[in-house]
Amino acid sequence: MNLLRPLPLILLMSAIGRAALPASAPAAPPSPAAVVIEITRIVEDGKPMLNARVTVDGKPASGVTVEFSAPRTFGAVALGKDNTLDDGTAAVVFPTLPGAADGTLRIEAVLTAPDAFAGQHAAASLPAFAPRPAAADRGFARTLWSPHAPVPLLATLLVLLGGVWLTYGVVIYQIFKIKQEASS
Amino acid sequence: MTSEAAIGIPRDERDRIETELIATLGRPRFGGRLTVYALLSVVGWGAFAFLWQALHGLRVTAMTNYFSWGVYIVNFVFFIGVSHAGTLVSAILRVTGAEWRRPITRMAEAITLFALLVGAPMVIIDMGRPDRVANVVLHGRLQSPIVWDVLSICTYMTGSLIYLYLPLIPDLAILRDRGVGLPWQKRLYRALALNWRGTPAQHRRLERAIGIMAIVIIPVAISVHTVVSYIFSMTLRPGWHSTIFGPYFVVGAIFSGIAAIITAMALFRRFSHLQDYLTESVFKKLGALLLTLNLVYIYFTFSEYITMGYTGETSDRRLLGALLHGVYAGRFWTMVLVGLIIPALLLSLPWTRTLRGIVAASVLVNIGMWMKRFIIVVPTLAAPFMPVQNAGGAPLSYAPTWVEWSITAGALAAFSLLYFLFATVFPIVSIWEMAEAPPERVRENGGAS
Repeated sequence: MNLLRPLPLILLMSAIGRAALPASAPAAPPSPAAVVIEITRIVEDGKPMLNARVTVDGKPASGVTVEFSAPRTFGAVALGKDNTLDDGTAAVVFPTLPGAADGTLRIEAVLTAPDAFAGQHAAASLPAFAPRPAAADRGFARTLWSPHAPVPLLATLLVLLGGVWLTYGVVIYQIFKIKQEASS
Repeated sequence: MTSEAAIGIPRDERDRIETELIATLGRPRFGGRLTVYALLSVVGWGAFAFLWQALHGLRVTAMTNYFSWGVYIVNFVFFIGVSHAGTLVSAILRVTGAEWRRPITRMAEAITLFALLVGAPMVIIDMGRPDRVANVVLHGRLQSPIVWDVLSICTYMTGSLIYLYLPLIPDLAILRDRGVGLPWQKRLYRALALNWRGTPAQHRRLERAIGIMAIVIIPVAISVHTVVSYIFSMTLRPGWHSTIFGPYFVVGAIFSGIAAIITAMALFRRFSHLQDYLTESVFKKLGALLLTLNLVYIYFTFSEYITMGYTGETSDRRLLGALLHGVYAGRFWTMVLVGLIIPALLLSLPWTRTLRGIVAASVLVNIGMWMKRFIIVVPTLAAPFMPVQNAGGAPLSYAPTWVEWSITAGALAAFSLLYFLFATVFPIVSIWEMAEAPPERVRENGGAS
């Protein structure tokens, strides 16, 4: 059930484009509407879905186009788009992309229509569909971000380098003895 | 007090060997001084280029996001390869009891040390922020092959220094006893000679220490170039991710190392008048070793590319196309011809297997092996798995700038200069080892008239 718990990232955006009137406009500008996009992971008919709920001034906004994407190292992967229903929700199938080392997947939602909302966006880190086990939990966690090197690797390095440096020590001892023997 | 070491040949013969080899030391003559000034100028120019790079950052090089490694890493792999000349070749010949090694071990061991001293800093130059080099130690991850490389090179450098120093001790005692050199040299010889008197007990200890080092340095040297190869082969890139890279690199290192020794021998034979010690016979024996390594390297090269070509993965095919008939074809086939085929012919045909032919082959191998390292590093970086972005549709290309060429020239000059200066202060042919050689070997390899 933990996976179903919403992990919303609420982004409060202060203005929409239409509200940004020039300062010299004779009429007083309307008060800016507060757009909130809440991204969650839900289960619908037993299928994991990526859900975004759009509200304007606390009320659900219907007919708003939401585009979902997952930012990756080289650009973003488009996950699909949907229009919000009367309850302000839009949903696409949750992607099967692997998550980050901590098992979460970064998701972005951007509003593209109508123009009044275009450009508003929010992001959230949700539990990945197939969460990647943390590096430290794997059998041979040799990744550079794992907290420490795997024990077999450490042992190998220690034995090899220790053996060589110990031998150097023996040779340097012989060098000292060469000097001592001349004095004796 | 004269050392009591020399036991193999008559006293007068030994004195003559000592006198002849000590005569190679001292202040260089006019030509030698000119060489030193010329090398110093190139080193100075290289230092200026490095300063320029330090001030302006890596943007003064041709390196980019795609070409994070350039000629600096090519130089690094090349010098580490050359460093195998000394320690490994000398140690193998020592362990196998090859008597003909005696005139060449010192110059081989010195090559190792100076090649490491010049080659290892190439990585720091490549990083672009030399002020952050301590982070490699402070924040290095033992999981990274780069940290293994740092550890193995430090171990190798220490071992090479000990291995160079040990056989020097009796010679330093000879120089001390003969009062050779300027006052600072006399003090240096006295300090480093460790009160060597050549007593049987001292000899036993020295032989034991050299024996231990000769054995331990072989796996250390092999591990160094294997770890250098891991930096490539443990990266998922076409042309790099190969299981034969370890032995391929080790063979390549010994190959270029032997070529470097032969080149150095030819220079010392010519300019230090060591014809009686560095005989044609020694050149021919090393030439035979060079040919063996040449053929093994051709085999590895063939095996590497035929495997890559036959499986025909998209990225491998793209890289192979660039090498065989694409952007890098000129350099690839020049490397094959200059570094592998022509030397193999020169070394195997009876009428070219002469001193000149062997030296020519060695010089070509050195050039070819530098090009081979370029072929390993650069074309792979030009063939990334991910689509190329922000390159304006143009193919990726890398042409080193004047800064990179200047630093490269400065490194080569620094190596030559260090080696040259070493030979003016320390005997480049081991005096005591020549004097202890069995008489018939001395007659064959030098010393007897």
